Amino acid sequence: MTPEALEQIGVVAGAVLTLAIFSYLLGDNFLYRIAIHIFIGAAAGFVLLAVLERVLIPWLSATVLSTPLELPRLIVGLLPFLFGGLLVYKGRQRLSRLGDLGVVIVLGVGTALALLGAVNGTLLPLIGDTGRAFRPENVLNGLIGLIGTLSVLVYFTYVGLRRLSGEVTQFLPVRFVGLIGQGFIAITLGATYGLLILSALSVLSGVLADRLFVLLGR
Amino acid sequence: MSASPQPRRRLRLGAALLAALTIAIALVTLLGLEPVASLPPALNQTLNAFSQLLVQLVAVIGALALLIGVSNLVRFHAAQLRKFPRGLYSLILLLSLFGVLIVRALERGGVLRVGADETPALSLLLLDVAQVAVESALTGLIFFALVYAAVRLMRQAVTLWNALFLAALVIVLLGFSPLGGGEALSALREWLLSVPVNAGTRGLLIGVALGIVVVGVRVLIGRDRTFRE
Repeated sequence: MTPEALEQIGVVAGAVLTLAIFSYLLGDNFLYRIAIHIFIGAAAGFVLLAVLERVLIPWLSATVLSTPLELPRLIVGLLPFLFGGLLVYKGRQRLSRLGDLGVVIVLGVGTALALLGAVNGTLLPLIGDTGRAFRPENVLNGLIGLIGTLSVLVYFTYVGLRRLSGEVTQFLPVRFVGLIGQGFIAITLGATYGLLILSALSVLSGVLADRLFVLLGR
Repeated sequence: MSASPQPRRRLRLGAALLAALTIAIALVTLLGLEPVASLPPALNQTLNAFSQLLVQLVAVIGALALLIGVSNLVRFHAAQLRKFPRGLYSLILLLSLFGVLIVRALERGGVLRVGADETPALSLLLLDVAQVAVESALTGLIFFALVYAAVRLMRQAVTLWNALFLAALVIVLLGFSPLGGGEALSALREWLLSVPVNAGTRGLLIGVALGIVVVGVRVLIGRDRTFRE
């Protein structure tokens, strides 16, 4: 089979699957379910391939299967399989303590990576951006930006005062600033929703042009 | 009347050991990835090498977890094969999964080759047809769901927050539209996105990052409940 013929088959098969997915607009149906199950199966297959070809085989060739075989390398190579194997027991009630050993390393390294990512990747750059927003020609916008950022943070403050009746109320200044923050959140979510609609629309027009009109044109 | 006493928490040795091990691993990884200038360079290098190894181990454990997940999927759908019509969908799923694996294996073995060059043409075709086409169609389908949800929101009782949400939505949509608004609406959309929306997003992201830091610090000081339950 030539590459051109293969491409033709791919275009037609892609268009048929796209049509099957769009049939969901008429309701949940047989064609949609078939397309979704093909998608899930292929996705699982590609995940498996990526895991094997990009992670497990290179790891095993660099450690367990390397020549000449050294004991420390062999032990390091088998360690993740031991911890990974222990994770299986996490789902079983009586043996879940064994699974905890597998969780330890994932939780420890995950915590360190998450902390570094949150501080270096999010907190420091965003706090710096908020400060840099103040420019002599742009003081008002900088002030709105600062008020917006701080009020959104205050909105998620759950510190309150429990009255004798048992009712929990927030301090008036916190509540007031929180209301401003709620306004900023509503505007942010509304604008993000609008951007999401626009991106979905551009994907839809691309799908119609690339996949479905091909069927009509040929 | 005295307050009822708090139930005393039982300290289990195993849980304490696991928490201590987690804290040690987290600290070594942190120190290795973010070296402290006051420590000797040799120690920093050792910590860095050790933390790199730990990250690699976790990547392999993650890969194994995915492997376990896929094998669980296969087991579940293999058990469904005798039922109708669910079994038919399971059969399609399994055929699609093993089809991808078999095609890739044949390509790697040099048995299946399209054209003269070495590119895995059939695997790429399967990726394009079963993944890219379906994913983009599903994303296109989201458009209808989003518009429908926005219309439903308009039917709800009007509140200040609904009004702000819809005003921002309409400004963004019309601001990008070639049909309506002109210069003024386009400038308003630009300002909305660069000032209030930027500020709101920044607040939300800083909040999320602060939450991650708090959870991370709880693990580091041994206050996390992972091993207590």
